[in-house]
Amino acid sequence: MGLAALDPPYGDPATRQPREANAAVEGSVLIFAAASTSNAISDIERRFVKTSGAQARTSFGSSAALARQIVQGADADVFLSADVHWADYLAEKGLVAGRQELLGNRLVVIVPDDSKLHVRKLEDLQAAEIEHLALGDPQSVPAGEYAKRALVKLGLWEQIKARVAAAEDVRHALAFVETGAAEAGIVYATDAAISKRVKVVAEIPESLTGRIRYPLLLLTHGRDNPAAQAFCRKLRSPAALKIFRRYGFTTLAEK
Amino acid sequence: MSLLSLQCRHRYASGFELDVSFELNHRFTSLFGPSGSGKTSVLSIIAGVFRPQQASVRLNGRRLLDTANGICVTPARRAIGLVFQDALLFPHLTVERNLQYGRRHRAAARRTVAYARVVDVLELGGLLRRYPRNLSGGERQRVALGRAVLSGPELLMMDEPLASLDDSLKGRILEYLQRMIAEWDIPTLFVTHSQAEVRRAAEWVVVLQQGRMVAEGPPDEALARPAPLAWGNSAGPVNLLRIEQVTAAEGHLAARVAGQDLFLPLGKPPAVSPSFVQFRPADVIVSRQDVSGLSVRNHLHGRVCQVAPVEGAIFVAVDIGQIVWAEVTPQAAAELQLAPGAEVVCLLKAHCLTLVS
Amino acid sequence: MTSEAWTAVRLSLQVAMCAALGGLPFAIAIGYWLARGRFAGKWLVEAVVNLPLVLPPVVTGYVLLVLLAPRGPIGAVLQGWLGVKIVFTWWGAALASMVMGFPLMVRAIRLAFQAVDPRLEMAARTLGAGGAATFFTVSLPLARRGVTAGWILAFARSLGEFGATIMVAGNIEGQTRTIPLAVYTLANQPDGMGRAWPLVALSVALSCGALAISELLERRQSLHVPA
Repeated sequence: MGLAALDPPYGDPATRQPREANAAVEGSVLIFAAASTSNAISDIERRFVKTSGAQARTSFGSSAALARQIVQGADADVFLSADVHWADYLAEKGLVAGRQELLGNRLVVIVPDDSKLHVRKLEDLQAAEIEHLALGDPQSVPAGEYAKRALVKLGLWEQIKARVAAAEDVRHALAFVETGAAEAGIVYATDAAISKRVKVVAEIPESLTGRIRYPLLLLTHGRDNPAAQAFCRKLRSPAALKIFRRYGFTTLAEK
Repeated sequence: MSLLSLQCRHRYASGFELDVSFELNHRFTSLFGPSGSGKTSVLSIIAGVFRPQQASVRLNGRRLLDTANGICVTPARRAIGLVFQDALLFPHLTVERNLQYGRRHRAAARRTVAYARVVDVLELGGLLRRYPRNLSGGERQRVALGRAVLSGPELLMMDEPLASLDDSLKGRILEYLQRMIAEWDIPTLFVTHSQAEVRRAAEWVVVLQQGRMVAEGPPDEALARPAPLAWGNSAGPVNLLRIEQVTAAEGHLAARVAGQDLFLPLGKPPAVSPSFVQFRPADVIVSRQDVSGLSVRNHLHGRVCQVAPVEGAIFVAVDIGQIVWAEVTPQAAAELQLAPGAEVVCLLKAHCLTLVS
Repeated sequence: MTSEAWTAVRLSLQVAMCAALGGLPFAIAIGYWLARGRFAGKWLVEAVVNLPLVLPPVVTGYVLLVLLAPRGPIGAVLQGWLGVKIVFTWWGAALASMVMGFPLMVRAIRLAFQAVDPRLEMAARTLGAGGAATFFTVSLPLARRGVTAGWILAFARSLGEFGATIMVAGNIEGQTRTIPLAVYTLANQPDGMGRAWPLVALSVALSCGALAISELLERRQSLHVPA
């Protein structure tokens, strides 16, 4: 079931936009979003509140932690997950009312901006100088799972895994590299883009990581909430997608 | 060179001002005054645990404190033993370890006092393995005395060491104290607010009132000054007579005081000598001639040697061989023409007398 | 329990032991200073000591990470002079735990020193003991129960430390994955909660035991104070 099914007026973006911009909506929406989307979502949320008149609250964290909270009964209306597995898991539990793959992302290898290490490709991460490689925890953070998948595919994981510094979410992995605690890290291109203290030394192709998709979920708790529906529409608007692209995401919703 | 010379001045935040100077040359000196007169402050300054705004302290010619020249010897190096009202034994150490505490922290040369002898003199042998919490008040005070002596002090100072003990114990501890002073010849400064204790033990007394010295001298003289006579409550005047030949007689105790007979209420005759009787000046009736047919047992003959008016009363000192103070009204003193030289009889009910030993 | 779980338990005990022991001398010094010292700016020292108690642990951890990482002021010195990297090691975890448990330890020790009659220290000084001798023969022995209680509290706090540890030490299996981190890792897997139970139970038991001992010691301490 796509989000469009819940949203009959959805149609051509050009004709929809004026209507949406003027829509006044009552009530409030609670948005859960993966840590990697926090900057973009904050920007969009601010605009949404200004134009719609609805209230909005946001909570950012690792997709796993947020999904866990939703299962435990958190009152979230909308969930932008960095991981399809957690989306599937919530759907199995009957907590999802509508779903659409909204964004795509890529992984990159980063080092501190003053690093003198020669790292140009994933294979270079085996170098002994790299005492620690910062990743999101591969057991719980999607960015870490994708990174592990790429390293496994290249046959590097077994050598590297003892040096992996697993972070609570992908932003912590970024902080590990920014502070020099880890000599290198693998994060989303979008995270690398917001930090001035790291540089991107390699991009990891989708052929290694698998497709990195961000499903947008309208949760059952928000199904009858006009503000939640309005926020989902807002996320798919050309203006919002432009913001996502500015932060380095690829957008998938406008087809 | 005097044993101890002290000069100090300090103004407290409360406005109380301490301004005292004196010299000590006696074996056993009392620092006497009502509570709040500054006795403990003086002791703290000498011991070095309180540093006043301006002071100089010398002990046996050694400068311990001289604020003008920035000299201040730490308490640890002053060689002054301090005994507190509540003993202040270390609760986590046995009696034995308490006794040896000062010894362990003092240079070997200062260890002039034999441990075994202290245990002997203060009769501490049975207490050595106990902890302070299992001791009685009197036992604690004895241990505190021993601990101070064993630290090899040049001067022993005691802050009301008897105040928290009951009457029957006070005399015994005083006796231990005197034994100790006799044995080791340690000069002692003894703080008290009890005139009886001063009369009982001191050779010299320094009298403090509101932060100033108001009298000093031998106890009989210094305590005859207007200030100590006028004090009420616990620091007020008390008679203390030395008595001899205490024997049990039919229904009472008999004794001799300065060659005259004395009747005491029945009790156990004291085992030690000398003994004392204590009574209040207000309990003394003064008569110009001896009278018969009274229930009063004691008729002590003497001669008035001093008449001291204080507010609302007159204190009359009668020399019966020792001094007896009587408190009378101004009218009575005028009517009886009580003046130095007048012959009088002091009438004392037996039950007004307390035997102390 | 799995061998990973046992590793987490061993690591937790090792980290907590080191954190509590490492902080002890400092906590005793600062506790005594706060109990006895009279100086301007005392409130400031107190505030700084208590900061980890009120800051979110992740913030404390972030500050520690910034200080200790090779690009931070302390980390740069460690790396440059000694070639040591403390972040992502169990030493880092111990240091984070030490900082988090420090306020509790200082508080208990300070209260214990405050309960020692200062006149006993005065008596020791007049008996010839210098400042250090007085401290070690009178003040410290009399405060020993409170000091032990403080140590145990800090130990217990370290066993449960999560936020600062994961920031400074990461979550590296066999090196820095202590009990709370192991539980967290399990809880973040869709089916992990069930497997986390043994660790959760053990964690509760350890903490309760430590608290009970600490409480018992503090009660004995208060009986010890003379009326």
